[in-house]
Amino acid sequence: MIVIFFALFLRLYDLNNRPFHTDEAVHAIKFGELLESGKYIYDPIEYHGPTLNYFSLIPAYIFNEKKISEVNEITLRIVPAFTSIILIIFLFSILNAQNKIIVLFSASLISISPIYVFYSRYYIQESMLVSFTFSSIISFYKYFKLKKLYWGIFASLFCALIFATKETSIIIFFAGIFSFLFIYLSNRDLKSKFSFNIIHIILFFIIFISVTILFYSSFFTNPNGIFDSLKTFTNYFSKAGSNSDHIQQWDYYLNFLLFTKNDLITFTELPLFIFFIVGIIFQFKKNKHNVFLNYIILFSIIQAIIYFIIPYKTPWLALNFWIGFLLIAAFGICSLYKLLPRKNLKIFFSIFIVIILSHNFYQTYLTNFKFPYQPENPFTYSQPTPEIVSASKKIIDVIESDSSDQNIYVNIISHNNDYWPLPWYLRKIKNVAWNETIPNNINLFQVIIITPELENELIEKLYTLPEPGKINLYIPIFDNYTSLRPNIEIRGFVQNSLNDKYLRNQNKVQIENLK
Amino acid sequence: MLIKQNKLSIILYLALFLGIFTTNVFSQKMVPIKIDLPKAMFVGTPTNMTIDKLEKPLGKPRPPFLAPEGTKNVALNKKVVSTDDMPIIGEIDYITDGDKNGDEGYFVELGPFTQHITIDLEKEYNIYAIVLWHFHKQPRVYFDVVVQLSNDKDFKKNVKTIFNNDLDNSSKQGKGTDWHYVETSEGKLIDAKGEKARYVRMYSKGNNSNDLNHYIEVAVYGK
Repeated sequence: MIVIFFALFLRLYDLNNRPFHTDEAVHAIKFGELLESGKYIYDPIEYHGPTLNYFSLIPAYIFNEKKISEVNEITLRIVPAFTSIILIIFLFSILNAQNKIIVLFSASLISISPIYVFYSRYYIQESMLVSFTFSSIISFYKYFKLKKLYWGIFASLFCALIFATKETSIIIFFAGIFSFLFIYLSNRDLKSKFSFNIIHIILFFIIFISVTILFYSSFFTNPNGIFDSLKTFTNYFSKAGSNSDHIQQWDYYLNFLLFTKNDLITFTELPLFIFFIVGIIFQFKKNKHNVFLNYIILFSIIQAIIYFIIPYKTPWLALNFWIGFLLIAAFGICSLYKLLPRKNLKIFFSIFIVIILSHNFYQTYLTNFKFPYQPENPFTYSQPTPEIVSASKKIIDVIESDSSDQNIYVNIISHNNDYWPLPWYLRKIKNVAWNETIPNNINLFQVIIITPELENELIEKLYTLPEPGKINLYIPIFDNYTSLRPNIEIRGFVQNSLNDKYLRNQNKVQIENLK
Repeated sequence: MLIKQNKLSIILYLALFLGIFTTNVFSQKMVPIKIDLPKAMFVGTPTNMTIDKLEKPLGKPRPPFLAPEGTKNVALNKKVVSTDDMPIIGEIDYITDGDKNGDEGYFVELGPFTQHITIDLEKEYNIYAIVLWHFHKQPRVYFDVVVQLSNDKDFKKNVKTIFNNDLDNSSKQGKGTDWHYVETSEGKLIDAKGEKARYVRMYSKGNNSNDLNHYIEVAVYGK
């Protein structure tokens, strides 16, 4: 219980200490459509599966938030934070007298894992996917061990949730089935022990298909979603293989996980990686018949190899194999401890392990609480900084400084629609246009946000298109260089008349503060 | 007769009738202009811009550089050759056509890995500055940007490197100490220190978005 509460604390404390990432903002706005209209249409090209959106309804209902403007970052980030805990809870289900220490160690390592904590505090699918994946493995293991139907139901439910969470489920299912077949076919004892209950198998597939249909058909409102859930794989293979964005070297994950050093942070998971290797050695020398650990090793290594091969890489994908590595590292630590002959050596080794765990916890603190958004953090990836929050606040303040009934129109323009996460931060503003190019009626907008390469064209349109006498003067909104995310600048302009109102408002506030 | 006498009156009445008719037909009730408000388009994960030794953009227009009177863009419409002589997109001669527009149809796309272009200025000039535009439709950082001057078209002797941000010498032109920079519509201004040269060569090795190399324009300011 202590481990679970501690894991929850790490995932929930100061949950909005990092500005929303583009991906988080996209998922949040998509969730807003579901929240406000009750409609969700699965998109097989982008944005992954429907579970994140539907699960987000739960905290929104609990907090009585009916519109996206009422929803905040915490409401949304709670979803991956809580679902990531499921794995830790299920891990305790395999606890027994013999493996008590290993399970406790595994749960502790996973609870405080810097990367797992980081992406559990992130409104994307990856931590949910990993939690469902390893929970399903545990459920299958328990089912084969105890032959209890409810473990089969859990396994089926988790498999459905994996499938309904992200299209990378195809890698999980491939690695999972391959690992099972390999272990099953290469182990005679296992073959004799194994028995399949046909009713259980049928029930497994009924639950799996029902749950996936439920999610992908948007609870029977979009039947096309069912076919799209399969169509998505063709898109995924082309994206993973030929997308020119996010192309990284094969060793990308190992580079940032095993050793990252820059002016701000020194990060390493090398000790745990070494214990993962130690765990594998012990497993094959002394513990060959432990099916569960054999499976975790094989499953994690296959996943790692696939993710190393796929050129498309983003840091959160490392979670898929790293959690398995941590489970084996915990086994490696415990096996090494048992092997030590003398008591004083055991004490020395225990101290060493406490230092490693403390260091790992310190790294969790660094990456999640001290430097949660800095580009130097190994887990941040095109991560906006608080600059975007203050810039959005200034835009809102400028708009709200007009107390008249007239509508204030805002236009946000960027090539390739690269203006995210602004749609999230400006979600309370009524009249916002989002464009890729500068429209010819741009002079009708009192507030304009653009990327620098559009400035010349904007000036030309603002001062040449309107008739004489209808040309408005525009003033920059931001006093300093302002970025959407590191090195991606945005520039803001406001009509002079609105800017005057804003300045008068600011003066009023200052005078009231002096009083 | 009667008609003749009243001709003027009839014309006036007709004009009045037509005036009232057209006013009624064409006068519209004034309504507020409807402003189109397109929704935000969903996008995928943006590429990461965490790059070692990356200059922070100025955030304001770059101040103009001083040069001796008579200095002009001596590269304008001059011949350019490239390691990729069959570009998939655009033409090599876009590089010196004087057009700095960043849209499709104004840039040339060279193949992946290290590629270079060479501009023949046709005679020796004192070169004071080079302004170079790779691609500015989106913020990008190009890697291993190396700019060299020489009087030898093969760049085997008298080679002067005036800019080099190849930090690991992966393009084999020596280890650079210059910083990476984000491409903007202003281009990258490189101080050539008045070096005398006829040929200008520029290397690059992909960018943070993809492995390909792009050029919109190169301006060589000399006299």
